[in-house]
Amino acid sequence: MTLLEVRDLRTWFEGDAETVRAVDGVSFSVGEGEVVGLVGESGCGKTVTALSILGLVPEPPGRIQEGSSIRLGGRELVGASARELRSIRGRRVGMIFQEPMSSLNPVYTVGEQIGEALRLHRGVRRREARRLSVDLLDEVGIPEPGRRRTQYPHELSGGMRQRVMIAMTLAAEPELLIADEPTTALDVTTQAQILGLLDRLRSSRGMAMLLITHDLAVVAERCRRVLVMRHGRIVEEGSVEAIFREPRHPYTRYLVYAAMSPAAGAGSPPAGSEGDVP
Amino acid sequence: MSPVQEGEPLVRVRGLQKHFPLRSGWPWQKRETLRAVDGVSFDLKRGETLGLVGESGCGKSTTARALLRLVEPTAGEIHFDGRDIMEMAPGELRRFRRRAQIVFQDPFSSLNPRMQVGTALAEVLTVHGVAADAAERRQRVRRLLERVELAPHLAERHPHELSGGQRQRVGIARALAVEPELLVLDEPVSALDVPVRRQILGLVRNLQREFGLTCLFIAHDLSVVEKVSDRVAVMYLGRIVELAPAPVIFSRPAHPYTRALLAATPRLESGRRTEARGPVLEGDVPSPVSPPSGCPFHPRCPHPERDDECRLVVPRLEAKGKTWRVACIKVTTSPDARS
Ligand SMILES: Nc1ncnc2c1ncn2[C@@H]1O[C@H](COP(=O)(O)OP(=O)(O)OP(=O)(O)O)[C@@H](O)[C@H]1O
Ligand SMILES: Nc1ncnc2c1ncn2[C@@H]1O[C@H](COP(=O)(O)OP(=O)(O)OP(=O)(O)O)[C@@H](O)[C@H]1O
Ligand code: SF4
Ligand SMILES: [Mg+2]
Ligand SMILES: [Mg+2]
Repeated sequence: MTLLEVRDLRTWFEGDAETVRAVDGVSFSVGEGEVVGLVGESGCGKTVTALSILGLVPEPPGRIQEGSSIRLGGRELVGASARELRSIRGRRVGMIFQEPMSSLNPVYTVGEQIGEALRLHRGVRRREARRLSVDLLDEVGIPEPGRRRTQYPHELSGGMRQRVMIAMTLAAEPELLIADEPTTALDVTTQAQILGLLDRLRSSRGMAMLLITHDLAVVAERCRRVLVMRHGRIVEEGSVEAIFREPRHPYTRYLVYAAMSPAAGAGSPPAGSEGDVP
Repeated sequence: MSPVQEGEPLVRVRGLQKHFPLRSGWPWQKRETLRAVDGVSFDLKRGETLGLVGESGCGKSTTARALLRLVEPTAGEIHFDGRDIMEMAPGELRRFRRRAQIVFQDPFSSLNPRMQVGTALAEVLTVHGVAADAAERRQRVRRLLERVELAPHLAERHPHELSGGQRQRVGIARALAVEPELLVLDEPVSALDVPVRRQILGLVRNLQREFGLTCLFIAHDLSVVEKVSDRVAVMYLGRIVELAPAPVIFSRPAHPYTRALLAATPRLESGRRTEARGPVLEGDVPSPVSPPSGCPFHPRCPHPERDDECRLVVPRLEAKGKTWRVACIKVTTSPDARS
């Protein structure tokens, strides 16, 4: 069953001087319990695609253009009322944001923030919320969750903040999770733990996931299907196996090459492939 | 790698500690402290890149902030170019603030949300008197954006009008604007895809070659650290447990923690991750509020000779070879002697 269906999504930012066509004709779908990877270079429109689905594009200057369609479980979200979008956000569609500090509230402790998500989306009582928030922090690999619960975001390390935000998003038990670079601040061990947790939630609760990342290694391991985006459009789509075996678009070829070489951080690409990426 | 100069180091850190007092739940409870950094010593030689690695929460960012005098150390000394940074007078401090720059882990926190990024960069140039006039400022801003692979028209955007990776690069451009001598990079390329990442790392290497820039480079991606660092310091629970030239750390690590950390790093082959090469570290990172006695790593240490002594003796970071230091009482041989 299709859970999310995006058709010809175009999200533009109309400024005084320029119109930025951040997303310019994107179509894809995510099935129930399916994990789809979304990759592409910096600035290609991945985050704006995600924000469009959640109804979080700042309007103005942003605007989802006429003819775009985003359907969640058959319900059209483009043009839906602010109230309806609010009821979908968190509860049905959860998002792990790329920059944790932008979505954590500096004046509440992390326990209060996770507790709030639990009460709001799952109707959990205060005392129960406290216990569950400690469990959630533990599940995302925060040591000493009981103590960390009482700290403010600025008192945590970068990697801890990222995990707190993941815990907060998962507290709502969304049907669809949009994870925007969810593990960039984490070492491999913790990263594996988080991705494993997301996997378990997929199989136990059928949670679907749109996984945005620039790390093709993560995609290879966690997704069946992958979308490659460039300049606001999807330039390639297919199974992970097919894309690794036979990447068609030059940018995909380059990403695959980079992911396979051991020191992907700074090595040189094979002769000939560099010129493919303008 | 880069022309590292021997002689007096640019930065000398000795016995650095940063403890944060925690709020206690009740007034009658004892106030506890969190030992974020707990006795760190190292040098940054002129022109070198020192990689700083370790698990989340081990104190990397706190060490970085202390180096820039952004947090006040609980104890210890930091000398920059021979001067104690905590003793600098206002004029000297202003010069220090130009000579030493940091790229923060969270780019949002360092950018003014109300200012177009081009204007913000120009302002940094004005404050530090780097450019002579408006024309030169404009020229420099354009050049800076170019160097970090940002299109010139992005200068007119506010930080929230950029993508995550674009924002991260503005942070880097901002730090480079004043041509610093010391650059602290805290996870500088985590949000960037491989092509852009290569460009940025190449840029940093060029600055080292041309101007002898000194770097402290923090990253959790060990393959990146391996590529850019001359030496690597491995941190665990607020302390450095091993410090050696990068090739030594990556091919012949000696400290049991470094070994475990490297063994847990999988490699990717034909689209699938290979199994990690060694045991994944067992157990949680101990609490920085009540760290274990003796060697802080002893509760998780897989070393076959680990014994009661480890629980009692605090290992010091000792020289075991010419360029190699390790904090473990069970490591005796020099890496030059090992194969
Ligand atoms: N509020 C805005 N006003 C104008 N342009 C914007 C705005 N928000 C984003 N953009 C532009 O839209 C494009 C797509 O941005 P988006 O954040 O989706 O990129 P991304 O694919 O997530 O990149 P990254 O990997 O760097 O996070 C970028 O060029 C960005 O500069
Ligand atoms: N202002 C603060 N108040 C209280 N505790 C703090 C504060 N800043 C940092 N800490 C604590 O100090 C410890 C070290 O944090 P630091 O940010 O230096 O870690 P890190 O090594 O950079 O981790 P990461 O890789 O996750 O970014 C953590 O336990 C953190 O919670
Ligand atoms: S001192 Fe003992 S516990 Fe610590 S790392 Fe060495 S062997 Fe392990
Ligand atoms: Mg993004
Ligand atoms: Mg950090």
